[in-house]
Amino acid sequence: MTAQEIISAAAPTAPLLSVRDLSVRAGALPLVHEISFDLEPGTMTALVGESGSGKSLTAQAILGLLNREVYAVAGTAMTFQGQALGFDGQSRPRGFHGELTGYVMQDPSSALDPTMTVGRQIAEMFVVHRGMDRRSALGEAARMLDRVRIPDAGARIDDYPHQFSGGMKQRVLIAMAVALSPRLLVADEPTTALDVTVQADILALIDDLRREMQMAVLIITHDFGVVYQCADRVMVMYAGKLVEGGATLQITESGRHPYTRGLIASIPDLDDLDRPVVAIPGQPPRPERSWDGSCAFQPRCSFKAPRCAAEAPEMETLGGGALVRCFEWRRVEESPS
Amino acid sequence: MTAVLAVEHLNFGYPIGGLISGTGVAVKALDDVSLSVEPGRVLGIVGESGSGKSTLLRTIVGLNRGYTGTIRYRGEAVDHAARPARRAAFVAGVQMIFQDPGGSLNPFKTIRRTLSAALARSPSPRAGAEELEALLHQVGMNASALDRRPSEFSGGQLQRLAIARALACDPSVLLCDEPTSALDVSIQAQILDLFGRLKREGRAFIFVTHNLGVLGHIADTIAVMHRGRVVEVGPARELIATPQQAYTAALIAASPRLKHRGALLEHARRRLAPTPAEAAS
Ligand SMILES: Nc1ncnc2c1ncn2[C@@H]1O[C@H](COP(=O)(O)OP(=O)(O)OP(=O)(O)O)[C@@H](O)[C@H]1O
Ligand SMILES: Nc1ncnc2c1ncn2[C@@H]1O[C@H](COP(=O)(O)OP(=O)(O)O)[C@@H](O)[C@H]1O
Ligand code: SF4
Ligand SMILES: [Mg+2]
Ligand SMILES: [Mg+2]
Repeated sequence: MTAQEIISAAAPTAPLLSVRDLSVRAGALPLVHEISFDLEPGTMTALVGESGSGKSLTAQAILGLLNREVYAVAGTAMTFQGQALGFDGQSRPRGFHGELTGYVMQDPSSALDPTMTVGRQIAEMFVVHRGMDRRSALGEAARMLDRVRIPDAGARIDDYPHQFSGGMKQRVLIAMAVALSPRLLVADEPTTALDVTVQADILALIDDLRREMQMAVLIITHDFGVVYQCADRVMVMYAGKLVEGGATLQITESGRHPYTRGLIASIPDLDDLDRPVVAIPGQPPRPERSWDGSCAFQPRCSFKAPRCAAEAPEMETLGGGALVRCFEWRRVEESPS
Repeated sequence: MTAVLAVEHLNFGYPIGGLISGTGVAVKALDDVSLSVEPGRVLGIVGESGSGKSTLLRTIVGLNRGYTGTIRYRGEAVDHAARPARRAAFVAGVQMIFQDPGGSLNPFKTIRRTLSAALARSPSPRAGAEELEALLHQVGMNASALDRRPSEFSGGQLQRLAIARALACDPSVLLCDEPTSALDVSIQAQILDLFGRLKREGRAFIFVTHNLGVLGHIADTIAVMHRGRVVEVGPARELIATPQQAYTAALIAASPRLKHRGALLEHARRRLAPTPAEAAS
């Protein structure tokens, strides 16, 4: 599909971030294939898919955070607030990291400096980017810790990271990512280490910023409940490619890709305890050659047709901004979910 | 049916010094906890972070010393201070599975060595090719895994291998601490399938998770923990449908569900909103 088609499929607002045909390789190994999407201000988009499908690589490639000695990033166009971003990760506008974009990385343990108090690490953001003095910056840091529901925040700013549990460290990263009210928040499984109550509070905080500041959010998660409750749009990734995209309700209630349907069927639904939990059989493919001359989902697909083993499906644009990469989507659409 | 594993009036506090940032008070991590599980049953445990769920499992298997109360295995009190030989039946019969699937597998050893060692510790030690294959077969894998190391497997495969290692002693009870939280939904469903089968074989589970949907599907009974205490226990479906405690109701309301879009955030905002008195001050 062409870039033109995607742009016309998107909402009328000018996108904050626009990505066309983003690909990532490690040496000769293709890991992410030709990903295209737009993020509009004030919206939340969820990126879902099996572990290893390329979600984190996609996020890091957009932000320009991949190590260039290991990964080669390419594409046809990428813009942020209308300005071109280089795929090499080098050309990023002033203040791109921290001020314009906030990033919550998947593994919180490596992200914090073990030799510096938690409060100082957050305060640094205000000192460096806002020119605040240390005292008021620490005050702001305590306020942020409080917003991410760290109890007794005023006292905990003097703690070092090792004195925080995994879930608390994750909250510190979220506090740092949103401290400067960025235009775009990229959050990679930000709530997996949290209990449900704290998770709900954090999601409400992110949702507030989205409304108040028109912040765009790209959230990576494998919790469809979170997606259903919070996201406007969903992108489903399989073996390095987007296989379906569309409005949250449409994807969760009547997905047109067999993989999307499989994901939904494997959720233990709290509101339908009699519905059996049906696993997708088999394992996800290894990244190399998975889309070479066939559909990568074919070995696990209950809808597969002879054609699926002979060629790889292209992305098709359907109405309402929906996209699907499957020869048999009409059959899937007609089958009850 | 009689319980295969029971704890009676279990109390445990982490010693002062091991505490987070010198509050100076010992955390009472378990406060008079009494629970039991029968063969072929799943006891689910929920509760907010820090409520004592992992501490309970660790205390049962003897990783926390200095507790008071009784742990019973097949009706008999377990003495964690006794010599290992006297606890052999318990050690083999009660196995633990953790959230981090790699954690219970030695990264430097092949799967063959790890599983052979586990089989050798079992009550009927035989670790031939046939036993190894049978073990892998139980978790839906095959002999091709034997000569590989943990780094060569995906998260879901590692969790299967960790379960295979636990099954080597043919345990009657599996203590699972967030066993699927690190896995994506489709792999979680495969592991839940596997647990369902082990349950039908008559094995008992204590299953800790934040995911009430998972417990709704696999647990027979759910216990809710809060600050080291069990605040509510009941049949899984009843407890989810009609929680008796406000704390349980709050956990259910905070679970992200696939209906009533937006209800989760609305509920969180209502909970977070300052009360009129707070707003005035
Ligand atoms: N090694 C330790 N030393 C001191 N205190 C500890 C230790 N381990 C746990 N605690 C404390 O004991 C209490 C119970 O912790 P536990 O790990 O059992 O919680 P949990 O319910 O498993 O939480 P989570 O859902 O976050 O895993 C907490 O207050 C915790 O801070
Ligand atoms: N340097 C690398 N060399 C080879 N494979 C890699 C490298 N980095 C990542 N991968 C592979 O790329 C795939 C996508 O990784 P990732 O984006 O982290 O997945 P996700 O976030 O969806 O779980 C995985 O299969 C991973 O093993
Ligand atoms: S293209 Fe064929 S194999 Fe691929 S998802 Fe569609 S039906 Fe299944
Ligand atoms: Mg990832
Ligand atoms: Mg725990």
